[in-house]
Amino acid sequence: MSIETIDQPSPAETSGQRPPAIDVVDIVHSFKGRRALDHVSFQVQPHSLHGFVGPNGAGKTTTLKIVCTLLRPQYGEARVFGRDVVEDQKAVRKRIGFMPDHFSTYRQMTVTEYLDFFAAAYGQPFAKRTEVIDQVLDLTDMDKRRDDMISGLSRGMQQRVSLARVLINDPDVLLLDEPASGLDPRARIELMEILKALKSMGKTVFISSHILSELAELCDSVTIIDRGKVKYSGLMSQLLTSTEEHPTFRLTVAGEPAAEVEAQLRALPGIVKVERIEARPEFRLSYDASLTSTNQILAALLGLNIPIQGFAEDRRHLNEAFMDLTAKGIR
Amino acid sequence: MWTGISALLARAMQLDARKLWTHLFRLAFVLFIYGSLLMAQLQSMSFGAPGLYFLQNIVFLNAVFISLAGVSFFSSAITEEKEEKTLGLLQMAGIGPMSVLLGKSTSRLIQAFMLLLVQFPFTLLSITLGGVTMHQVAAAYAALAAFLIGLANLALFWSVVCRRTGSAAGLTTLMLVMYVIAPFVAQGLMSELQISWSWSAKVWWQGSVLWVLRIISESQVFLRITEVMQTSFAAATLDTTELNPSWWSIIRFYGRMVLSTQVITNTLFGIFCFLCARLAYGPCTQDVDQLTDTRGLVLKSSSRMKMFSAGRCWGNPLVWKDFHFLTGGYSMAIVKWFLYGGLLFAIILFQYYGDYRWRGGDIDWESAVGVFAMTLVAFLVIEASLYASRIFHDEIRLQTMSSLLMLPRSVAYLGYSKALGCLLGLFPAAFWLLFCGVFALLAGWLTGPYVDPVTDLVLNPGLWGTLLTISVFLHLTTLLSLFVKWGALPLAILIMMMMTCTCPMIVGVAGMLIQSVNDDAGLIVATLVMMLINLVASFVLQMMIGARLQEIGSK
Repeated sequence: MSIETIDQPSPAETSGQRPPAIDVVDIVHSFKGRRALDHVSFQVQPHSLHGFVGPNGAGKTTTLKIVCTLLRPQYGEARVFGRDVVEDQKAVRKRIGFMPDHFSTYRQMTVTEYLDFFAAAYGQPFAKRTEVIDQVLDLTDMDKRRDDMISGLSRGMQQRVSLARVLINDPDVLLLDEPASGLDPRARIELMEILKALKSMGKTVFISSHILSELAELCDSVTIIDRGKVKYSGLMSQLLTSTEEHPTFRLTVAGEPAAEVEAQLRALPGIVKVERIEARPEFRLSYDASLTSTNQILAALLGLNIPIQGFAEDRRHLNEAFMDLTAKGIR
Repeated sequence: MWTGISALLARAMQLDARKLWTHLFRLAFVLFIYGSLLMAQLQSMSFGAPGLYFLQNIVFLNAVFISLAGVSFFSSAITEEKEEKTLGLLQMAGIGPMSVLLGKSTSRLIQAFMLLLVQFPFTLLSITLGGVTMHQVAAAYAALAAFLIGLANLALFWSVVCRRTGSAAGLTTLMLVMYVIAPFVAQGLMSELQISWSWSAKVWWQGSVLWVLRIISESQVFLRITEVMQTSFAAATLDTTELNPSWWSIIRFYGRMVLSTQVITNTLFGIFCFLCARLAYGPCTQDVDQLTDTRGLVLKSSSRMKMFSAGRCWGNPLVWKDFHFLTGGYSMAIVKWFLYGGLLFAIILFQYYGDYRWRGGDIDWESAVGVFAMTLVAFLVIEASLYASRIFHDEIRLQTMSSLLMLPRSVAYLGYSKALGCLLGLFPAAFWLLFCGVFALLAGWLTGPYVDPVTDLVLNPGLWGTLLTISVFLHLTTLLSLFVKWGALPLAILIMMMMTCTCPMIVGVAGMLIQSVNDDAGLIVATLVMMLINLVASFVLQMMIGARLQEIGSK
């Protein structure tokens, strides 16, 4: 069967609905009696950058392998743009690109040969291949190294070649397993820039990573998984918003705050809670919105003569959210 | 130094004890011994000297086993550390070169010796069965032990010199083949020098050359075993003129029987190789962390000689990839084409000097082409086996299996396309084989009365049986390469050999069916049964390969 004939929209797409790019429903999977995924469910919206976070052994790679059709789920379903990963395997494979957590390259080939091989393997016509290779090399900034052997490239360069390979069939969904692991800071920042560019091109990027700070900046939505169970799946902004009952701000003071500062803050009108952040010159202030406003509090603070260095809405860091949601202990 | 050696030795022994397959392998060996015992018992009903038959079986199997172990097990001793980039870590842990060499090779040598030692008491049963003497058993095992020392250290040397296990195994195999052939060449040369050139041992330098040739001609283990198994060897006895032979005379007698030229030369060669390995260790392991993959003879598209490059990818990319990057592409095909052509030229030249020029006979073109064709078939099988052992193993090594399985293609498509790429690599040998066929047809027509050897061969059921057996062997090699890190090919050879030896009933019945059935219908039935068994085996192995590939991809 020609692989050109199977690139048809799914029934959900033809009916005018907009199916999620990835839809994982109640997946259960075990290895040798040990449950790796325990009723995992989440969705990834099209054209979004979705982070997939979890400690080692949480089930991230297993989930990725199921979504990318390499592993059959023992229970539950996974769909990509409405197509089942088991039933419509070939159609799903046409629409996704998977970059594993290791260099999956033919090191004895040149960059061009490697990309040409995969372009042909995805059924790209001979005449179109050169153009496609030029495009992906341009996007990954590897144009000048096109005739180099892959084994002679640095780790960062090899990662770019892997990414170029994933893009060769112009997939709608990119599944990236730890793409930044082992890269130096520059290579990591450059990779993140490429991912942003891909998102702006309308791709859906599903990225599994341990580098939480970068994910927080980059991703629209996130799924946190621990010991095979989904702990959170939704918008990143929602996750990072403070979970306090009242609106909360974070006040940073210059130097070690004096002992009476906390009492002064408590005495401010409308303040319902003051909390000193351990080992840092910071306070978390919650206030009653019906009694006061942000501006009023700020004005009052300026009147206290405290050396203020920062005053901002209290947003949780992804690290904090991650630590709150995942359990301690050996997996 | 001793701490390092004992640490490496202990680790190797612990790993060996934990691995299931090593125990299964030993169990298979024991089963083979029991099978041979049973066969010897059955044979004793019809023939004499069942003990000799039993001992022969065991000893020859051991010799083959040591050869295979040398190619795989021993030649990876140091290269596996290089490939895993752990050699530097060993050095940082204060383990010196001598400790690494001894620790890595001695453990393997001990494992192999253990296998010999374990079976020794069983082989003494051959004396009870009859037809064998004690000193025959001792001489046979001494020959095997010396061969083991020689080959293990030769493999260790190549393992130090080479960067990859494949290269080390290849060079060990090449030298092993030379070791097997050398005595025959030496014998031929010796008689030629003595008869045609009238060389004499009385002239010191001629005598020295002849002495070296004699040593070479006596240093091969298979010839030594054949000698040991002869009745004349068994007839040697202790000096009976002494009524009560002293311990010294017994030791002298066994020393004379056991310490043959082969035992001494093989052991000395082993020690020499170990010393060479030690000397080569430093220079050959310095920049081991900068291991890069090479393209062999495949040039880059940007090079001047574009015709030898892989060029643009073909319509079927897997065929293109495996043809160029597994079999060596156009350049390697041309090299092989010339090498095979050169082989034909060498055979004709040998005939010319051997028969035509010096002995005044005619050049026997048909026999020359016949020998060439047989050699080509052997090379074809060797090439195919090597490709079978690498076809998927390279994908596992490079961790590219998941990327391949992610393609919108079936596993069958991937497998058959890759196989087709390898088949293209066999083109040079196939070309010359076709040449032999055309030559045979023409020779038949020209010399008459007309006998068409090609049709004769094609209609021979033995040919199809052999082809299908080779097919099973290739499938088995491929399957094993998906389970073991190295040594799939030797393991497949050993399994096939053991199956052939321990299942003589099946093979024998099938053989008898084909040979004894006179009428055409019976022959066809027998052939079909043979073909069916092999076809089913190939099919089952293919299914297992497919399932294993899926499993590897999902890991």
